[in-house]
Amino acid sequence: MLSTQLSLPIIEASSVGRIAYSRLRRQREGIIQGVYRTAINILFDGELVSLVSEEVQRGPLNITLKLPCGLLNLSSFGVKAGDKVRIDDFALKLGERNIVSFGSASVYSPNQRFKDSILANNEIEANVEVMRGTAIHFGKMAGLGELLSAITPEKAGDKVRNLNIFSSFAFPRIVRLEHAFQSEKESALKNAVRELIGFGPGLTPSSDDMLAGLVLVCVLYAKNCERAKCVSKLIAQAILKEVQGRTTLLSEEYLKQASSGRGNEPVMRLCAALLTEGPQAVERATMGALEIGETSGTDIILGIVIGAMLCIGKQSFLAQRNFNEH
Amino acid sequence: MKISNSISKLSGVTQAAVVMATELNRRVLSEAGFKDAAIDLATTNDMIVAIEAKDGESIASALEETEKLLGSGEIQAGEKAQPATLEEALEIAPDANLVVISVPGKFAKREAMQALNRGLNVFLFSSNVSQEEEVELKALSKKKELLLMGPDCGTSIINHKVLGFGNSIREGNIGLVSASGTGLQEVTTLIHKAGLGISHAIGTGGGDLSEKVGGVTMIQGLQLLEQDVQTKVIVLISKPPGEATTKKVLEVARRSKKLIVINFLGEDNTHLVTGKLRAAAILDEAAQIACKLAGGKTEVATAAIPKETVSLALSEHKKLASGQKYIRGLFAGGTLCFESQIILQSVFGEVFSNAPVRHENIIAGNAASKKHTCIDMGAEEFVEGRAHPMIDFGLRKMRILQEAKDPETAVILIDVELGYGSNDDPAGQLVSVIEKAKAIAKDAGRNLPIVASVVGTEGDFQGLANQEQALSRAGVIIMPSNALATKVSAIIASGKKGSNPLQEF
Repeated sequence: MLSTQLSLPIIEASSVGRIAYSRLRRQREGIIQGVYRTAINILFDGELVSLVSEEVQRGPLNITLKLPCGLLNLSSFGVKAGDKVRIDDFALKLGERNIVSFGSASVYSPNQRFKDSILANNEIEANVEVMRGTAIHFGKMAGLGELLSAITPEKAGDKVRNLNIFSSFAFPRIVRLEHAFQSEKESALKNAVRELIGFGPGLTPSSDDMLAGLVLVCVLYAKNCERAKCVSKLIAQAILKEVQGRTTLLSEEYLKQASSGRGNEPVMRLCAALLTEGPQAVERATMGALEIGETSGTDIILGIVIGAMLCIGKQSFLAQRNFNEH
Repeated sequence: MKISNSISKLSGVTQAAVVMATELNRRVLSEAGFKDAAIDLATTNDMIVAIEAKDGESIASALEETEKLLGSGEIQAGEKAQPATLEEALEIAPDANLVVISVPGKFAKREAMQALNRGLNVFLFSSNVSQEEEVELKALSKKKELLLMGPDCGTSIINHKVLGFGNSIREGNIGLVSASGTGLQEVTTLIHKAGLGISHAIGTGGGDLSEKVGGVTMIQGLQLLEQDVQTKVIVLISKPPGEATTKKVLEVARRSKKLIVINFLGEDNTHLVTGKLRAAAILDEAAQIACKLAGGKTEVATAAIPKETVSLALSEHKKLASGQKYIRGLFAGGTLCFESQIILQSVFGEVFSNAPVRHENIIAGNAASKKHTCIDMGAEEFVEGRAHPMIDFGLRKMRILQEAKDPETAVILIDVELGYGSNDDPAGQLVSVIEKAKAIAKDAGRNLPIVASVVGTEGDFQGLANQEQALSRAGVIIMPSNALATKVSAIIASGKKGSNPLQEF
């Protein structure tokens, strides 16, 4: 196919995440850490900011770019890892030529307080089933997604016996995390989290995606619900303490944001739908979240399923199974 | 993740993992038998490629494949960057006489002007270029006798090289000029399926035939094909142009010494049939006439619906519940959406759409369907911040489920585009949602027929037969053209065969 990759003189950003914005205002120079199809990661004094195409959507660390129609591939930007980035007022100069202007971009700050009140536990449980069913049907199972089928009673035995290498490794560790959550013991939570952080395939390893979903829904539930237990705070603290240096920089940043109740737009939308809206909204939001990364969306949803069940005082069936049977 | 999966499937590979070198991943690899000093030295932001294979040869080919896969998505440090300016591109290819430009709309005019002033023909993929700018650019291209395809031009095939979206089409003697991208794809693939081929297919951009622009590129394209020795028959495709523009284009067409098929969709074109001009009301009719004029011996596959398909459609109608009355067309191709509306209007009268043939039948794209509805999922309201639905199936999947839940939906009609620029595996994207849609209807006590046409050829990298078979296995009725898929949908919904020329079943 003939390339459509030509000069991109000035690209306008449509939104800048609040965390990204404060980092940009503090720094003058950065360096490109990685260039991917939908993201260019830039380090400013060790802190990450991501230039992303609009399909990734808004996020606390994201500068969302308006790319020309049909050209949603940032790897054709003409920059590479190691290139310098300069911030000049409200513009970023990447490499020698490309300029990203964020002067007219809106600042994205994820809304942690839902506009509607939290549903009753049985309604949340029904929503969890809708989300789980949709993810099983449309998700990508090469990471930990297979566990979605093993966390309810039906056919769980068969599913558990035939797990892929990643799910099979993570399964007993997720069970231990659930037990630690229910015990509400800080040390048990820290140990359980340490056993999962940084495991699995992907630039954001699958276990990290799962943990991000789990902690995000727990923190948001706690912020919006009077009946929430303080264990949500404990797991967030455990992740914040254990994450440093145990996983990739990108994943570390995402886990820190999730532990503070912040996430990318599709995940925030899914949590809001799950906890405050009806099954149709949950199904729509699940489809949106499934489009994150290769398997990240599915792995995040696994975490949200487990986290939401724990929030309403239920254990997933995963935790009730004997994981030695596989 | 994709890389791990691809490598694991290679011959001779027993296990493979491509993971980031986090502490836990390194530990797990070590437990799995992957022990190497390089693994111990790796840090969390490094990537480990661990491959266990039967022999050294398998490892070498797996590593080669890994490098290829890694290189496709990311520009590695030290690798030469893509040309970022026209000057740089011309240094790489100094003899080029055509430039493809895809920049944000506000910079498109500047870049295109630069190229035209350097004596280059232009394929301008960029959208969001104002009509005033288009008029200015086309005046310059006309003055310089250069071809400006676009702005907002999605498809062209010049000297058998596809620009933008397009299919692998056999070389032949039919030349095309089209203001519609998917219209051009549909007609060229139908010509290919009939065993014939094309010389060139020139896209003009959707705004070319507006009264202000005046069909500059269509006329230039027509004149170029007139001079082209390989071209015997010319096909012109567009949604209805303005009156004055139609007159201008027809004046040039009438002077042509070649046979010309005019397909201004939705217009009564019969008065145009004079001398060497022929008229077609819909896309597959344009392909049929062009093939006949070009000396095709075999019938275009889309000439009529086979009797057994008519029987199948009638039996599907009998399985519908009493409330299932309406066709719901969900299109990635805007012109295919338009064509289906023309056909369905001739059967049912009223058809609603976000891109309607008749303005009074407009509904919002994200609104619930109303009676017979055809939605152009490639319309601006759907693609803001997303890739085109030929690439990104997310919104169409959701809409399919929405229609499946509606008790009034009698049949879902879809188009699937293959070729350069389209999704790697469109059928793979659709099969699971189609199965779910059918299951939703079944749970509600309904049968839900789904009819599709696949725009593509065997030469397309997705493979026409593979794609059609995958959809067919999921219970989709596959037709060889959008027009026939629409007509079959009409039989299913109405339980009747048509009686006027557009309904010719």
